[in-house]
Amino acid sequence: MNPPRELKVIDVNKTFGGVQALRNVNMTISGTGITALIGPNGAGKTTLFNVISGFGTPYTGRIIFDGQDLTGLPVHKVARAGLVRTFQTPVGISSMTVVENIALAIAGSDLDYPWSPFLFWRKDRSRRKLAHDAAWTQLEQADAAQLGNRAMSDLSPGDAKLVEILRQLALSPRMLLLDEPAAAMTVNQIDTLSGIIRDIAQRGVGVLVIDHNLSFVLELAAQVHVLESGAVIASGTPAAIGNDANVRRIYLGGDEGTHAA
Amino acid sequence: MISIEFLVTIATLAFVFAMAAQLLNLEAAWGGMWDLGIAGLIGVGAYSYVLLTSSPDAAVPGAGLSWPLGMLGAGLITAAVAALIGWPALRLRGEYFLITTFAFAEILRQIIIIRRDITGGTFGLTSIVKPFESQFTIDGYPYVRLGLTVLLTVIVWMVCSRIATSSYGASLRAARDNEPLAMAMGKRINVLRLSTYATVGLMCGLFVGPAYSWILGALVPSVFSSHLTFTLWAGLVIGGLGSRFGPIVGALLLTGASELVRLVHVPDQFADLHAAAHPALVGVLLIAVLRWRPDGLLTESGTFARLRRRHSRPDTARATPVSTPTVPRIAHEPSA
Repeated sequence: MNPPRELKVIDVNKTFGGVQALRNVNMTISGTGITALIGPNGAGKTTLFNVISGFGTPYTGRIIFDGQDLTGLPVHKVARAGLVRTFQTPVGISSMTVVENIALAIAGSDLDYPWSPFLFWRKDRSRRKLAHDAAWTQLEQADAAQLGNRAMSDLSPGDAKLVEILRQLALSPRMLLLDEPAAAMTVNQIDTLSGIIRDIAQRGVGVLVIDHNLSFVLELAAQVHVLESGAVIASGTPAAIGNDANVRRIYLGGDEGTHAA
Repeated sequence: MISIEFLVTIATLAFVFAMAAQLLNLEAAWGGMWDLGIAGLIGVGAYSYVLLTSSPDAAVPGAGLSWPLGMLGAGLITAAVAALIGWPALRLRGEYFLITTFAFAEILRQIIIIRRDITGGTFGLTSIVKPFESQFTIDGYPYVRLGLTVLLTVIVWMVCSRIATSSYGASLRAARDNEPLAMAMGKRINVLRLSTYATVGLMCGLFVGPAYSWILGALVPSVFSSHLTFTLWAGLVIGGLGSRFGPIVGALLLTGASELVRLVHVPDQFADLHAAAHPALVGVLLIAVLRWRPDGLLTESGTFARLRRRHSRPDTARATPVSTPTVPRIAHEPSA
């Protein structure tokens, strides 16, 4: 009786003024394994991400996650439903250290009321202690314990990206949406990142990743969707996508290069 | 001549401001809600307290409750007013919220002036019930009042301190630092902010309003003008936004300095200049602090660095940077 573990985007349209950012987008993203969403700048990848994660309501269409209709729900409800996103700019919570960022994610939100520190002080205190311990453990397992006491602003761009993923992973999502995780990374860092993402997927967390870097996502993903000018132009395995004429036209330019963004 | 009674009264006023500045710190520095209407909330608290406690036979009839019940009632009324104001205003962000709260404070003050049948209008309310007043002599009571006000300031400090170290406080600061991220972490930003604003209202009515009324001969609307709001803001900025002791230090320093200017005796022809020196001093103090200590005398990072030590373990492996590549790798699966 369990609903299928998948994220379904059904007939989604989104307009900004006269610009149609998404046209009849339909895709099914598996709740396990790695799925990639690629496309040129301005194709609507981030818009689709925002619509899925609650930062924008689609004009028409529906977002179904594990059988639950998430269309138009506020961001925090989408996150609590297990669909957690990361951000392109990994600034994090700037006034806190790395370990506090992760501990905040682990601690949850049920003690977020002004009376909680007074009525549930012992619970709050032990919760924070456990969350900090768990955050240190998580950092150690990611081989990043040396970052724990650093301020978010002191991190290198690559480390900040890692902490962004670790913090959102600490929310124990069922599916993680990664918004351009490889942007601003060196080739070596991208290799490391691929390892991390594979590791997340192996733990049974679904991953949807958007990126410009074709070789990075084609190597990583089991399933690839290509977006251009707000519409899905190709879906399939990385091999099929790599040989798709339309995709090659977009990425490599060609005879019909007029559409290239 | 400086009389000791005068100093005690100034100190009492300074502690009332210290209480209010701490609440401003809670909502503005930690909560990111830049409130220019806190004078309105304090006004609601003070008027509620006086009207609940003054006798039904007074010029403006009150409810005749005892002072603890009056404080409690004032707290609840002010919390309700804050929730009512916050509900539409907190949909706005940044400077729009600021302007809206400023307008609400002015509207509240105008209502107090217009509804003179309930509030005494500009003539004010004069029958103010002060705790333990009858048990002490007229000469001794100011000291008792100072003690009570300091006690309330300590209570507000303990409340704010606990909030600072709690999960709730951390979520509040997370929402201030990065609102989209806090939402994506499952935080209900609107509930977080509205409940904080109502809590500030509760404490304005429970503590600040009544304590302010105790040192006033008559409760008049002009006390709760924007001048009060800006004094509190100046105290908070001088002391240090986001710091636990900053608002207390700033409010005491500012009130002390600006009230003591009044003691300088000047010939009558310079009386207007002398009056102008009062706000000018506030300005000079503010500029001086911002010039040499832009974050205030104490800082938020200082406060939380101290609190942080409880959770950072002095493990050498963590304390010293390890010479691994800049981007580390997940070596194996976390067990939990």
